[in-house]
Amino acid sequence: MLKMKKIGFMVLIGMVISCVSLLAGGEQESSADEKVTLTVWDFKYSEEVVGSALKDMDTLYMTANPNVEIIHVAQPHDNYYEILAAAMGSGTGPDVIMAHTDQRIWNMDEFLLPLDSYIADWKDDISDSAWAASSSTRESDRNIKLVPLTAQGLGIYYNKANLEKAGVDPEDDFSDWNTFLAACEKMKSAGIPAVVMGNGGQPYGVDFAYRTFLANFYGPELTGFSDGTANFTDDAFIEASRILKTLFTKEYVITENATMPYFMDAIEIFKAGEGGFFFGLTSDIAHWKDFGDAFGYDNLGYLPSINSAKAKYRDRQSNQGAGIGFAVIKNSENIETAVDYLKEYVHGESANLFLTRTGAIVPNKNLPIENESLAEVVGFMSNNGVPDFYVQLDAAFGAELYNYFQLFFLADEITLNEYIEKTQKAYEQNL
Amino acid sequence: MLKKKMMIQQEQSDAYILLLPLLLLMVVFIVYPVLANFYYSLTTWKGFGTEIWVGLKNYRRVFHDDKFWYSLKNLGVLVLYIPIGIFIPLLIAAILREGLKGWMFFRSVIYLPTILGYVILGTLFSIILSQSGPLTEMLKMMGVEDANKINLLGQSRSAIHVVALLFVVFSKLGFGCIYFLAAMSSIDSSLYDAAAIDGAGWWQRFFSVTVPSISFSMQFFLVLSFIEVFARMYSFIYTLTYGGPGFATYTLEFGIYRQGFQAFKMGYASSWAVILFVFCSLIAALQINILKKGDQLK
Repeated sequence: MLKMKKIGFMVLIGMVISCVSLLAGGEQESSADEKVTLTVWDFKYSEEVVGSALKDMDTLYMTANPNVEIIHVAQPHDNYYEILAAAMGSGTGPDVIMAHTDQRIWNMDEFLLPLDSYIADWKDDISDSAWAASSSTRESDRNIKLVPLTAQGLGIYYNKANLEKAGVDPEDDFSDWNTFLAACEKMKSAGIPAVVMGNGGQPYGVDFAYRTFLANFYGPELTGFSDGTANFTDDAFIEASRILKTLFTKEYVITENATMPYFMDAIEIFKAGEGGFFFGLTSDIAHWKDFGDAFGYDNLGYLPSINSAKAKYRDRQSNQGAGIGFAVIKNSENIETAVDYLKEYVHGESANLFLTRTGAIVPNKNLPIENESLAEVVGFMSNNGVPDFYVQLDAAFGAELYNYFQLFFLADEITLNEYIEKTQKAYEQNL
Repeated sequence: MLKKKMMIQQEQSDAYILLLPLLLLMVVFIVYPVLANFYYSLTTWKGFGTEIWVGLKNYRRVFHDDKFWYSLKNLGVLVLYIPIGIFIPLLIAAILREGLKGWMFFRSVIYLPTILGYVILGTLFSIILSQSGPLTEMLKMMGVEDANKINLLGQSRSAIHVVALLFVVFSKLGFGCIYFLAAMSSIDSSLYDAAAIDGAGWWQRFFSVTVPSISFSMQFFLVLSFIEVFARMYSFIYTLTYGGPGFATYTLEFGIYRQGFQAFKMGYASSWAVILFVFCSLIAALQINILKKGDQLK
């Protein structure tokens, strides 16, 4: 009797384990039919403006392709790449993913479909610099892994009305460092925050300011930060650090910057009409459209960078080539549909919708540019573009660099020499 | 006799059969990952794909990594707050036990940090302590000049202490009070009566009767506190300070996540995890030793 009970119990355990294994095995593939379901993961889909634009772009595609259903999933921005890595590592990822064109996605390069052969027919519609940024080897003619959705860069916006309130002529040439400093001093005296910056959590304010300054100090040689030919001990980097630090020591940067997140608190403060200068983006968010819509295009000024006497170059525009794009996962079962979907995203009605609704610069050469502020920004990006500093860095070191930004610029706990020494050491460890 | 021996053997084999599913789960989800971690610590690995054997290279790198030494220093500071984190809930529990008016209300309020969880607590205090947060506004109202320049979480010397007070002391307050209250409920009240007759004051009763009577519970709470500091702080640090400013609140656990999952240096992160494992094992061994000695003395 006891033996029967024991056997019965073991059979029961076996059945439970089998059931668990079967359920853990995941869903079975549905039977073959004409309908294609494309799953897209995105870290911007939950944003009000960008999300609604992407939704409408999906609707346009599904209307034109009734056999395609797009399941567009909003993923959290903060740990997006960890989620991606886990999904792709376990083979459970989507068909299409959004990604930044930096080391964070190139760490997962092996999961991405090479797009070179798929984009051959329409490659010329998109700028070469955008393709280069979308290539895992930074070459515009090979190893293309992303379809670029935005062309991204960094620059300096200013509120002319506030400058005028402080007694500054808004038509002055603020690209001159001394003129810029003088304007900041007048604004400080007038009780207006000279530079609105957000460094709470992650010091993006410092990061973006650096990228604009270093554009003039290094120019095209910024690529040297990807292979060790440029160093943090260079005179150029030291001088850029010194002048950026000046903004903090002279208290030109808004007092609350250390705990104010860049996204979205600092952006909203500048949009609300506070402050003189803001280190922003050229595309996507914190850009010409955000600020122009907020306090008027007539009030909005733009500079690509500040010209320092010790900088090798002048008026250089930090240009990532592409800011964000979409990649197709290698083991997707709907590759042709996925590539076609991405092609439509950056052409025609969809691309125009994205540009006009969000202000993001879509790197399609054929898109009309009707806004003057946008034309000014695009002009700098096309004619004065140099590589972006931060995207050259190893992902691990890039994150660590933020810790040193905090110590030197925000907490003011280390000297310039200590800062340079520590960053160089960490840089070399991660090369 | 033989029949009895067979019955005992039967019971033992039945016990193992019943334990089998749990043991299998433990092997798959605990034993294997721990052993795999040791292996991957000797490789360069992104967390997916093929690993490359590098021997002890990761460990050599650890000892030259400033982040590692910062994290050890921070753990040292956090550990120093553990006695406070035990004493305060113990004291509050002793007071509540005396029958303070409205003690049910106080008990609920004190338990709030435990209910909220680390993510909410971290987010909440990052707002409260921010330069434009309610604390700054309160200080402004009190006439403190340049109140918005005060940034407790933005200076290395204050940030780690704020984290320690909030995590080691404040967040454990509720659970500690309830836990010690429960432990105190088993104390024979005649001991307090006897102490009162002998003329012992409140503090004397606290240290001479209460504390010795619940010493085992205190030791268990001590073990729990160490585990929390070494292996449960990630979500709190992530939401409150993100390891900063600089590396002022960077811990081993936080470093493991940053390097493994954000930097895709899983092999290197595994070496950090092995070192954390060694620390936790030493602490556990030490505490087991202390407990054994305590039992022997009894």
